[in-house]
Amino acid sequence: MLIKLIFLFIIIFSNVSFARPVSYPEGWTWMTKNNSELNTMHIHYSPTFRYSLGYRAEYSKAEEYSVHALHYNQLIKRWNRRHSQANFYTKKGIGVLFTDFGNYESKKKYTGYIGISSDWETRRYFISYENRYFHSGKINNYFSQKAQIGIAPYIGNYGDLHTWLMFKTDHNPETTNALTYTPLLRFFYKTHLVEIGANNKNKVLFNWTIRF
Amino acid sequence: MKKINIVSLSILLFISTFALANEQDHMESNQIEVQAGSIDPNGTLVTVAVEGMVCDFCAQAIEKVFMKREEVAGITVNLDDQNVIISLKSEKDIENTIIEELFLNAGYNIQTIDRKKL
Repeated sequence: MLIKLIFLFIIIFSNVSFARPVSYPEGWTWMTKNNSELNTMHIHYSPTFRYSLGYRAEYSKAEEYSVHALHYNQLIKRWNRRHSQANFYTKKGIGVLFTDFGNYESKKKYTGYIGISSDWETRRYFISYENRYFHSGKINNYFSQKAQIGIAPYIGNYGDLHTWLMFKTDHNPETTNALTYTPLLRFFYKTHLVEIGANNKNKVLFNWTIRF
Repeated sequence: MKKINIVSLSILLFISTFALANEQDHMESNQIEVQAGSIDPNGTLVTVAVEGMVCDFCAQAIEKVFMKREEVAGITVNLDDQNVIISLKSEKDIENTIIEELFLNAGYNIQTIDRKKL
């Protein structure tokens, strides 16, 4: 019980945050991320450029559970330079997990997650790192992390179609194949950002973000 | 007669220089392609050198913040030159300190602000 309370305390009050998770002031963001492990949908509102608050739903394919969470992102520090920007965020969420997997028929459990995210970007190069600890009592507790690098083969101006060649590595220590490698293409046009790729297990990745 | 010629020539030279300068200003305002709104030909062009502006999301953020202001006629964000050109309406102004604050509140730092009356 004490551990649960400490965990909840950390989730609610810690200043630790997940990549580009905050929009411009009074901006909305909708995103969906789909890979071999998870399908997620997240919508958030940013009152300022420092934080965003929203709703996040995720479905775990392997464990057959869904999570509905109130999600909070915070920009802890931003480094602006003439031709680059770096960010450090914390991400956290608290919600409910539903599952009818195995013995957990119609099981409902309170759940939470917390993680950090950082990125460094120029108009040519991109590097990011993100991790997350997920906790839902006896149903599923895990730590995961991922790193992504990218290069833009050409530099477009504002309003052009931007294309990135990227490579993502996912590390899920508690699964049998802990490392997953995903080469992907990122297309960025006006308010839309789309990522399409396939990993070394021949599973497709599709991410789509819209800002408005 | 010689004196009259010199005076006439001087006046002509003065007028043509003034006209050319005006034309250059108008040419400059015509050459700038605004991405949102328009350029007020009687207003002021404010050029801001920005830090941290690396993608279209950054450009959109800045565009949205400034296009909400009643003083702004139009804006262009130039990622190549890392600057933002704001066209202010005639008889309207935004002080440099306010411009800097608007950029800071949008999440960006600025280096310089240059103004040019059209």
